Amino acid sequence: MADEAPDLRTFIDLSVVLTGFSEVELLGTGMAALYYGTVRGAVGEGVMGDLLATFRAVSHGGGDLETAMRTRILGDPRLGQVARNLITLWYVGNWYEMSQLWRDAYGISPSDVTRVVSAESYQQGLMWAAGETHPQGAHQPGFGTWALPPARSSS
Amino acid sequence: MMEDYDVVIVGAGIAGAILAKVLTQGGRSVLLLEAGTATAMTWDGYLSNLNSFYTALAKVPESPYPYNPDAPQPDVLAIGIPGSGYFVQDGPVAYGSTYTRTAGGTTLHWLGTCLRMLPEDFELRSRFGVGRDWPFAYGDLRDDYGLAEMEIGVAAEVEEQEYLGITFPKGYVYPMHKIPQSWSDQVLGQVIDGRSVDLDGRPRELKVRSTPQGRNSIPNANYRYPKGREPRDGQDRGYRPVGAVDPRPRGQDLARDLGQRCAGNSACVPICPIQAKYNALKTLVHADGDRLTVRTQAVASRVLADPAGGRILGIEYKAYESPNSPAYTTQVARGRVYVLAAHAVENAKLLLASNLAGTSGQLGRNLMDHPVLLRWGLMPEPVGSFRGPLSTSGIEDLRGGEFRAARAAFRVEVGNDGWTWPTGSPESEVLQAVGQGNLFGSRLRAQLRETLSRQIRLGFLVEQLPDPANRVTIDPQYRDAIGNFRPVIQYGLSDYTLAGMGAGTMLAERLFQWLGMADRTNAAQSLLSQITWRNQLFLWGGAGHFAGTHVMGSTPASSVVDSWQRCWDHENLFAVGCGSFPTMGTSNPTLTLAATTFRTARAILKDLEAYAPASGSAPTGEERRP
Repeated sequence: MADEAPDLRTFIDLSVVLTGFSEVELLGTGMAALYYGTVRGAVGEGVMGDLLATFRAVSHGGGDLETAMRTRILGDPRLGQVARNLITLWYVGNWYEMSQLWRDAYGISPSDVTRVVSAESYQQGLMWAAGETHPQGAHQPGFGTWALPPARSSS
Repeated sequence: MMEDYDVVIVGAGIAGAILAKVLTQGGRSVLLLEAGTATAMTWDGYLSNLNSFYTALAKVPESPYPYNPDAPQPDVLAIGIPGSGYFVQDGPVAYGSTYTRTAGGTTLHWLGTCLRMLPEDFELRSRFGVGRDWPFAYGDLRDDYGLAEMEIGVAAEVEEQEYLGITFPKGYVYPMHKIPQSWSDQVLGQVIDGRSVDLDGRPRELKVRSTPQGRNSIPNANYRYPKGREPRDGQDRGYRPVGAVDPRPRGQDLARDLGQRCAGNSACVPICPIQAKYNALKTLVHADGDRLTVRTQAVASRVLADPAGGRILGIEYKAYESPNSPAYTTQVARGRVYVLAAHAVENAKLLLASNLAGTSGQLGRNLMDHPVLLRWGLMPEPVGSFRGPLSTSGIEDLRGGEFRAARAAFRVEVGNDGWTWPTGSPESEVLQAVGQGNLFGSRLRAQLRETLSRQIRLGFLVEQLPDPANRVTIDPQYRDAIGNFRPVIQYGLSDYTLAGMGAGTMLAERLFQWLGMADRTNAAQSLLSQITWRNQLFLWGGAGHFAGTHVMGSTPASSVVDSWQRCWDHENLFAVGCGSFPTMGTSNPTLTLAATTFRTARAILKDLEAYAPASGSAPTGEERRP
């Protein structure tokens, strides 16, 4: 499916803006392609295509990116919840079912089910890195590491 | 009558495993019946449990251990939801704890805290006029505590654990040096250590004290194994930690090569990924495999007794082929001595279903837990939350004193896992920041970076007295998939316990002020149970410390088992575990459970002296010989 590549590229660019993590950090999780498929499966190709097209327009449109993101994507009734779900997908590793109001308005996919996407997605959740720690139950830091001050401690 | 085994044990948790190990090493044949599956007994099975944890939406204590309708277990998510779950909660308060029915038992997801009970905890009635006395004293159990600390592999320093009357034999050292205290413990200690609060009219000094833990640390070279308990190499000096286990011949290497030190996975509950934390399978794998038969997927359903004289003749059990099917066959296990080691609730249920051990009228009664009052807040600076074992320290100085005549004592567990327990953090923090905070991008990341590392949670484990009204019963209308009874639970919190929560609340407010910690305790962000007392709302949860259902005592009129955990009504039947505890004090009970099990093992070996070893020949069926 060679025509997926540009969309995946845009999906990663969008994810960088939404998560605050760099492209290298996101690619390092190994989850980008799986998450692309997860979102597309849950909201459908039409919504996914529009989300990515809108993001291309926003990112090439100049002006304040945050304002444009809020106006055209996060504040959009059809795209906003998808974008927020994309953030929580990256941070937690879970897909959360779209709200009933959204499903009533824009359609229901059998893949739109609240779930941990995979054992790996849990371990790659960005929330652990954001909190400057490791996923509970994985990526063990080693004996006694917890007795050391955290990186930013002033003590 | 044909006696196939010297001893038939029901339940492959820590008590059953200790008995199986001691009795088989003592030359006796043992049949161990386990209601659940044997998944965790092999390393690949254990990894499948780990995978279940990773993929579980709610990472509750049971999440790695799949629900089995043929041996159902309570579920944290069902507590307080009428009509759901394994327990039939008959109120007035929903019992807040759970356990797991699979080989290894609840030690698969215990925290690992190994505090000894205080000497005064054994004498609550005579010293403070409340509760019950144990039929023996701390001094009588002191050597058994040593055996329990050896078996579990406890990491601690004696000099930090001698307080409120706890004594150790001269020269005693714990098997391993203490687990390092977390950075957040150290920050709290810098503020709290040496400060005092008033108790019994006098200042009582506080200390953020290292918690003795059943997880592998640096072995103490000065540790000396008790006589006759040396490892296979015969050397009694220097503790040898036991890592991950697998009963297959090559699997034995794991114990040496994996899980030799805690690596800070921060998931002791629900599952330690490397088995650096003790679980009962470590004990079971060291039983004498030639004398031990483990039969899993075998649910004891009835204890069969001779109507004249009360001797136990057998244990009827339902053997099922698959947790996915209610098909089973009924079989009977026979031995000379029988031991119920199935859990406080399951032991009581089984005896009630068999209409046995009823003389005192106490069977099923006096159900206790440690209701845990939770308070959480945000430290002014990052303290490195979400790192290390889930708890490495506590405040133990308020566990004892004359005040116990009037209100419950408590210990304070200092968490290392942020607000995971009360709020489901960090997931809940992400959902909140994105869903209500409308944050995204670098500001979202910065917000989480700013807050997660400052989260602190304190748990106040409050004592509960034995109350006959708190009880487990059975009712023919409530049964599981294969026709066994579901426990019906009546439970409440007394004024004595609630007053302890009140004292805990006042201490919490004081500690938060000392620490400059913003109080974020909030009912709306929590799934905890709620109870209001004297206009104060307490948010609390169960500790998983079920106790008291077949209370131990010094007379058959007032207790179900004697000081050896032998049923007064049935000379060849023992009921072991926390169900025998007359009171529980404020210590997490597993260490004391293990100590009392060693005591009972001695009594059983003595009983069996009159007999030559039984054959231990295994009837047909699925067998496992670790």
